[in-house]
Amino acid sequence: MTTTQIRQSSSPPRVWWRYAVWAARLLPAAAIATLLPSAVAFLSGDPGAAAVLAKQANDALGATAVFTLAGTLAVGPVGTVTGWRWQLILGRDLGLWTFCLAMLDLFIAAVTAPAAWLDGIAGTAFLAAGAAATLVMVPLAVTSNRLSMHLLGRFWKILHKMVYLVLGLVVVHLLLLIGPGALGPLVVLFGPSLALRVPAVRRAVLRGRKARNVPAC
Amino acid sequence: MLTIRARRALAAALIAVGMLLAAAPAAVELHTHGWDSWTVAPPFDDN
Repeated sequence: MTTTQIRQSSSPPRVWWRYAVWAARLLPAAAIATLLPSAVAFLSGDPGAAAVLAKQANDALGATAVFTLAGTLAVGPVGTVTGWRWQLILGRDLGLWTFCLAMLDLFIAAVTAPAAWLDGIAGTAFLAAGAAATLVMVPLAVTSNRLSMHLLGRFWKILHKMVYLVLGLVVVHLLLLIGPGALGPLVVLFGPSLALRVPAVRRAVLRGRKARNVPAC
Repeated sequence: MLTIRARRALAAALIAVGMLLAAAPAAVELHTHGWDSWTVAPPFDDN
């Protein structure tokens, strides 16, 4: 098998991968689009619209933010297993989507709170954990660009390890909100990515890939 | 070009900002209303 054939077999077909990547980059916007009718009703002062918007925001934005966070954490491990590099561009996009969706969820929780806005984002322990997970992402979102990478050098990676703190707070948020039933889906969503980030596991996977002679692309 | 010390300080400052932002809502809420009003269960939880 020639290098070109190996490369073609381990890369997604060039014809459609750009469209797939762009679709994946824009997909989280659908969560915001689903809220538009409720948001319009809320802004036009419909009675009861605030509760509907708060519930929908919690369901659509919160759930999508968890999925985009899982995607962000999966981008690296996918490269470890497959040798692909084309998906790396999605890491920053999905991370920024996580931040934007979570911030919008937080904003809607604040403006639709029945009492004070602070009660809407930190009135209970589960809300406070969600707000903390969102706000701890601010420095990560602000530094998700090449200039910050250049300015911070090797400390950029150290700073961005705060994503594990975000994940921990999200887990606390969901466990308090849903209960122990959330643990299974969380393990399925985040378990493989986290396991593949353990250096010993990562080295074993890379050794296995090297033994099968699948090059990076 | 920033020195290593400046980069480290910048990263530490950003981490501190993140921590403060994360802790602020809960801290203000607890300071305002106290622990007694702070429940674990969400208000719309039927359980």
